[in-house]
Parts: sequence; C-alpha cells; structure tokens
Amino acid sequence: MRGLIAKDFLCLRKSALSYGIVLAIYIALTVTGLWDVSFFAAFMAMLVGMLPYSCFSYDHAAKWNLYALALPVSRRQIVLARYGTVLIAAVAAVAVVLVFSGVMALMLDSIEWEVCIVSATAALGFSLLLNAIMLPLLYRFGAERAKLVFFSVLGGLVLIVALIVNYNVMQPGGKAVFLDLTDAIASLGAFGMLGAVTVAGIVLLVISYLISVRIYERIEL
Amino acid sequence: MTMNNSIELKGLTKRYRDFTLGPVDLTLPGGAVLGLIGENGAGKTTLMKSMLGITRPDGGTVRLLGRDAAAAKGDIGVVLDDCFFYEGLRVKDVDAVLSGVYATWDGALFEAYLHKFSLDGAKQVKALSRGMRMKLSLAAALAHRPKLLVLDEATAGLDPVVRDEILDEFLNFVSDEEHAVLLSSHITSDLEKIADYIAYLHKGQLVLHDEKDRLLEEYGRLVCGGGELAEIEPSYLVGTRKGRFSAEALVRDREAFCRAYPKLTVERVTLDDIMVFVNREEQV
Repeated sequence: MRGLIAKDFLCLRKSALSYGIVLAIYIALTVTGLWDVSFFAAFMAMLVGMLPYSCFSYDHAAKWNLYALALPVSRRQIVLARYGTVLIAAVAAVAVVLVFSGVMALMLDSIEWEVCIVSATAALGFSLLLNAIMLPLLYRFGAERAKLVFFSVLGGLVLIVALIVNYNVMQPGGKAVFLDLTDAIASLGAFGMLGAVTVAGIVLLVISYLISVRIYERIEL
Repeated sequence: MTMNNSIELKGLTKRYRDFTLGPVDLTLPGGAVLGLIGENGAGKTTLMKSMLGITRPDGGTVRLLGRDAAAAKGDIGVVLDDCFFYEGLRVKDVDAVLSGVYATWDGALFEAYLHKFSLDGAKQVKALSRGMRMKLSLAAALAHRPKLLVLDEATAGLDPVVRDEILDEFLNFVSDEEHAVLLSSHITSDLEKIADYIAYLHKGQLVLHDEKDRLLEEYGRLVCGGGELAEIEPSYLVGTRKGRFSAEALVRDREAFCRAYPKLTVERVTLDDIMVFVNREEQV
C-alpha cells in the first residue's frame, strides 16, 4: 500500500512546479499585506481539494487500475491508499498554513496567532469535507466526468452553506441561534476548533472511505 | 491439486452481455511455457483477467502456484499489452512504487534489468518507445522474483530483435522448474519457438490444449485435388479450403492418415494453420 501512495505523490510531482509558482505568488501577496492569511489558507485547502481529481486523471490516463488489480493488493487497500494520499496532503497543507501564518504573526503585530490556527482549521475542514464528498463521486463517475462533478460539488457546498446561514439568520430568533452557535464554536478556542474539525474530518473520511470501497468493489474493469 | 501445477483452472467462466468465456479447464505444470492463442475477441485477455482477479469470474475455481489467486499474486509477474505507468513517471520511480507493493521486491535486481535492457532510469516513461516500455514492464514483472509470469501480448508490436531478446528472457526464467510462463500472442512463430504447451481459445471456448510438439505432430496440412478430398474419410478432416484446381485441409492423426492414404502428401503444420482450419471447421 505504501507503494500506491508513493505512486500518487510521484505522479503529482509533475504539477508541483506550477502549484509552487502559484504558492509563491500567494505568499508574496500575503507578505506584502495585500491579502489576508486566510486567502493563503483557502488556496491550500483548494489545492488539497483538487488533489484526488489529479490522481484519478493520472490513473485513467495510464489505465493504472487494471495493473493495480494485478498487484498483490486488495481493492480495499487500493482505495485506502488513495485516502492515505489525501490525508497526508491535508496534514501537510495545514502544517504549511500553520508555519507560514505563524511566521507572519511573528513578523507582523497585526496578525494574531489565533487567526493562524483558525485559518489552518478552516483549510483542514474544507479540504477534508471536499475530499470526503469527492472521492466516492470519483470512484463512481471516473476521472473524465470528475471536473464537472468537482465544480458542481464546490458550487453546491457554497450554496448549501450560504442557504443555511441565511435561513437560520432570517428565522425568528435565528440570528440569536446563529450567534449562539458561533459563540459555541468560538468558545472551543483555536486549538479546540482545530481538534474538533480534525475529528469531524476524519469521521467524514472514514464514512466516505466505506462508501468508496463499496463502489470500487463493484467496478468491472 | 498437483503441487507442480503453476496454473490450475477448473470450469472458469466469465459472462458478459454478448460474450461468454468458458467454462475453461486448463493446467500448466511448473517449468513450462504455455502459449495462449486465439483470434481477436476469443477471450484470451478475459481469461487472464479472470484468472488474476482483475475481473470477477462468474464460476469455476482458480489455483495459482497451489494457492488462491489473491494469495499467489505476490509471486506472479504480470505484463499486460501496454505499459501502465503514468507517462510523467521516471523509469527509476517504478522501483520506488513497486518496492512498497511487493514484499520480495529486489531493487538491485530491478537496476540490473534496467542495465540489461539499456533503460535509462532518469528517462520519463513518455520518452520510451513501445519496445522500451515493454522492457520496463518486464523488468518490473521480474524484479520481485516471481514464480509465474502472465504475459498478455507482451511481444506485440515489437521488432524481431527486441522480441528475440524478450523471448530469451522468458526462456531464462523458465529454466527454473518452479517457474512457469503463460503467454498470449498473435505471433505464433514466437510460441513455436518457446512454448511447451499450446491452448487455443476460440469464441470463449478452449478448443485445443496440448503439448505443442504433440499438436504439431498430430496434425498435418494436406494439399490435394478436389476429387481426392471428397474421398477422404471425414473423421480425419478438421477443416478444408477448396480452390478451383486444388484443395487444402487440416488432417488429424497424421500417421494414421498417411497409412490410410499413402499416395497423398501431408506437410507439417504451423500453429497458424491449426487456428485457420479449426476456425474453418466451424464455418463449414
């Protein structure tokens, strides 16, 4: 299984340069104060969210799945390896956000360390949620229709969050409930939020993994 | 189950909407090469995929190296009719990937094969010719010291020099009595060169399975006049081809046929002849 994860990252290496250039631009924009640290975190989350699409595209181009099933690994392990890739990438992205925003907080008094943690939490939560939804869809629909699926999922997520927020705020007493909720989340503290999002993200990924295994077990190659 | 059998298939069946493979019974003893022949769409790839568990069989049992297919995969080297490594990967990346997949992966042996096949480890897969890609697939299939090689059209599209090199590699591999090779190919001359056994799949059914030498001895190619052909006992004839002035036929039991019809000349057959005439028998 280690080899399958290594394969994913070796394939992604090709995209690393282009991602690196965009990353450098984001860093420059954040350092110069033009953009907030949260933009950087959002970019990293998006990067991890795009990752499975790239992996599936590479597999599709090389017809890798046919070969993978001839290797001494089960279908379950093949799916697990893909989730492993995503989890490693998500953890690495959060680490980059934490380190970068931490350095920024040290350099600029205007940035508080809580903001850094919250940014990293948001990045982690968003990327794990996106992947938890995307991966079963990718197993079900394949890489070719993945781009359409990806943007539909992204748009759908934004819409759902916006509707929930608006609906709750517009209900009688909704604003109070909404504020209570945000207060409750805020009361967790920065590290509490990070922990809660991590646990929630992993639970979502586990559910997503079980669905993906069911889908992949039925696929005929 | 004989311990010496590298492959043992019993009633292997795979059904698709418009095609059914099997039921196929097939065995391959250790230390031997089995050549799998058949026209396009006969089910060769389906047989291999079902055998390896890439696709799920609908019936029958598969024993590879004395074990279930899933348990035996670590000792099987597979080369399918394409190179399945992403084009952006470098040749040496295959080492990093497969060392994390096969418990018995030998990085030094992989390096040795790269050297032997003149493959540059720094090159990307996309920069390799088809022949070089097949060599890379073969190096990957051999570097974990497998006991069984399953090769689907592994020599297709390669020039004779490269094909000869690769066939030599198969012969080296099978010199160990614990090793065996299953090789499907349309290039029957390759199989005549290295195969010990031949299995002929026709429309999903195994119509012939025997030692290659026995098959080539058993069958003969008869060229005679149309009138002479009409006088031959039909049980000798496998398939016929009639022209305006002469006729050709594949005859079985060549020795008995020659005794029964001493005036007729029967030539040695090739695997191509057997395939063509067996196909004709059905058309008749």
